[in-house]
Amino acid sequence: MRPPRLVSLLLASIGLGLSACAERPWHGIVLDPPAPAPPLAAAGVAEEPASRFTLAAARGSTVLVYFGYTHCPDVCPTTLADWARARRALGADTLGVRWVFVSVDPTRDTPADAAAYARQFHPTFEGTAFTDAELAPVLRDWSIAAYPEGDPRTPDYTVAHPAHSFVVDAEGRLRLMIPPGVHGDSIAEDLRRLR
Amino acid sequence: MVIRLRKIFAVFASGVAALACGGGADVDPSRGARATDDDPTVAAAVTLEAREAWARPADSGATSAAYLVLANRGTTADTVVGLVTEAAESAAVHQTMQREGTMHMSALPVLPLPAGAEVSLAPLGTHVMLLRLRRALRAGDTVAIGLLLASGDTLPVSAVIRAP
Ligand SMILES: [Cu+2]
Repeated sequence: MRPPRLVSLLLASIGLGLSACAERPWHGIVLDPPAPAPPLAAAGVAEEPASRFTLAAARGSTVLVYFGYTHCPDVCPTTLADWARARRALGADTLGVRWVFVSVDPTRDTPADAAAYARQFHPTFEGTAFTDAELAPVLRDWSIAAYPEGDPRTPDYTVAHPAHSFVVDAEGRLRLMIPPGVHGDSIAEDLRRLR
Repeated sequence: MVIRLRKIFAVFASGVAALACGGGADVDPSRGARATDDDPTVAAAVTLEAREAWARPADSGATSAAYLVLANRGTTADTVVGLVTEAAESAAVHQTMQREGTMHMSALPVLPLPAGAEVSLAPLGTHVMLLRLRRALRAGDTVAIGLLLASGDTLPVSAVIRAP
């Protein structure tokens, strides 16, 4: 298991982010200075299926990215429900924001499964998934950890996955990490402030 | 409302043998059978309250989680040692943990209910995992869950399905 380097880096930048905005702290963890977001697409695939979400094609939108799995009963639904609340709180400001659930469970989830799961929380939410081979470089590029816990040959294994939602701005820069449990209204507040 | 311990529901008793819960919170069929014996002294000594029980909507075959508050109003500690439900192939008490930016879940073999204490099962913490649902759980439905206790009794809980 690799240490989540990006997480450490971003956690180290909390203080920096807070000091820059001492008057009103962010709810998320600010990456300051912002870094280009790693790609979110199947590496080595010349032509992505049109239906599959890619970050490159989302340039111009603020994108929330969450890495989870559809058999996740606790953390993932909590986060996506908070996203749905954030989306409602944003009102008209939700234009230009995309909400993407990325499955890190290639054994059980297809892109269609991930998309159907995301839509349960809001019809505009998107979902995508990777094959085992495609997922490895994504985890490496994002410096995140995701792996099965328990026997993946049995139906009841769980998947360790990143805790935070990532926020990528319209210029494709990684700007925020939102911890689990942050209320939708607070997420909306951060997103408004980012734009 | 206080739900006093009472005889196990027939649905639980009939389901016990078929349920093989994974993850360390296995159901002991003999325990379920024992709970059908009426023992008023136990019911009088231990008073458990289950309230605010709800579970997430999910499709048939998928995974859901149930949450509730357990209050032990009695003077005797008890422990949840297993779960039965008609709605899922398997059920277990789980704990969500965050370590170094990564979320993990693990099964809790037992859930202690100290005398006089309230134990809250809530999102991002302790929850009842409902694995391989036998039917779709839709908002407004209810799901019956039996908490098997070390005292030998079963606490019946009715969880309402709702989106959080
Ligand atoms: Cu769980």
